[in-house]
Amino acid sequence: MVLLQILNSASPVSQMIFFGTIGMLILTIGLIFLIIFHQKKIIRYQMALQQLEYQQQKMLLNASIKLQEEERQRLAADLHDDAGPLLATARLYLNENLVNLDKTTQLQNIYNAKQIIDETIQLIRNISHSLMPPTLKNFGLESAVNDLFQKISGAGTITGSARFHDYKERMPAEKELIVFRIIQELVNNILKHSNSSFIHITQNINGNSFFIRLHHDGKGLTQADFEKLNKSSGGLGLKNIQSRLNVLQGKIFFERDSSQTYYKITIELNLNDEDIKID
Amino acid sequence: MFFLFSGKKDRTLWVIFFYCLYTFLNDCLLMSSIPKRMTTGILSRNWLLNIFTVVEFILFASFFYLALQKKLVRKTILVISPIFLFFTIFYNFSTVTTFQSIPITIEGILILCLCIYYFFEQLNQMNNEFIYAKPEFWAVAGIMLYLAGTFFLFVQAGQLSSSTQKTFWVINLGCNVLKNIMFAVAFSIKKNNYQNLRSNSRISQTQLN
Repeated sequence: MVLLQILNSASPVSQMIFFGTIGMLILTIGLIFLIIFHQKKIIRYQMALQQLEYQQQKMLLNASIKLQEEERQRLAADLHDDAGPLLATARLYLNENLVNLDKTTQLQNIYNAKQIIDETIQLIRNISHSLMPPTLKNFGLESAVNDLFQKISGAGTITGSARFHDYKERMPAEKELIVFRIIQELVNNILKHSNSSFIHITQNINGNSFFIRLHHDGKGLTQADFEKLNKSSGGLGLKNIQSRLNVLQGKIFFERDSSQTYYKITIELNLNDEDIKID
Repeated sequence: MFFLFSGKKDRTLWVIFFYCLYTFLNDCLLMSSIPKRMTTGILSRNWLLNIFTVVEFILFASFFYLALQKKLVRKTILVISPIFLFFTIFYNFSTVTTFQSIPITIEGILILCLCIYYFFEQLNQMNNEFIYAKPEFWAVAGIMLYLAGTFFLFVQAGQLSSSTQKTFWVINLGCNVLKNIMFAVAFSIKKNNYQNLRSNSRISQTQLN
């Protein structure tokens, strides 16, 4: 009845009130529904992003575990295949002495056993150095990297050099170890896949950031290639690098220089983060 | 009653509760015979409505002061509220017996702006909580529907004759009912429900896994 009164009324004020009220209510209800649906959409999108992040973290963790297992297997193989037979041979020579009473033969056997034990000691020392280089622990990152490049250059196929411009004060030991492993992994990748003739590392500090740059003239990766490999099921070494960088809250960037003659890898770390972040 | 017995509530809902209580008392007074007998004075119909505007603004401004998180907006509320209140009180005293459309319109605009800002702030918060799981959302929706629905009525109410006013007053009653329904929903969303809805959103995330 009110509606009829309003519609029949000739007064523009009445009609304005009626239609204005309807309009405002429609706008308000529309706005409320829009907000509800828009927020639902945002939440769904955020959950999908979180899911993607979670999957990426899972992949990185799996890669890390797989690499750890591979290293253990390699260690076991080195000990079983190299150290085991050597020690067994040394034991044979010493056993021979119990039976053979001829002094010359005894001396010869002891000498042979000593040679084999020396070889075994050297082998175990090498295995231990590959697990934890003593140069890194005792003299720091710069010395360990120089040491690494000396060994690489010694092989003759590739020239390696390192130049640390601003490394007067050492980083904490755990951080140095992680950075060394990253450099080791990158250098291994370059040696295995790039076919380059030189690798050069430079280090410097800019403000609060610690930079390490690797240059090589072989076949390298761009940032797009790195991200693609990181998301795929392969590229274990790269995933390992990424998980180590996540611990240090650092960044890595792969690029080809403007002259297209060499590839550059830049690692950036924040100097102020003393605590290593472990998720 | 439901509000009083349904467990611990946020301060914002206490403000809404006091608003509902005051509205109820005001409506009782309006419906009684006193305003009809008095054409002037504090218990006359127009006076009651004008005072209602002041109290309504104070309560709504307090609600938004408690509900909003951005400090700048809260400071703005603290600055604008006394200015508006001073203006309204001065305006009411200078034109005593008539229904004051201007203060009500200004109040409506200010509170509607705060309602829109509240929704904007909620959308910008990066969390996984559904907006309709919060009691404040329903309270703000109720306030917004009430003020939007009665906006044009109150703008023109001063110029309408008493018979036309009575005809159109049904809009105010209808919007009041809508507002009270929204407030009832706000009161009924317990903290448990709110946290259940949060954990449901986590469950649906794990289901994605």
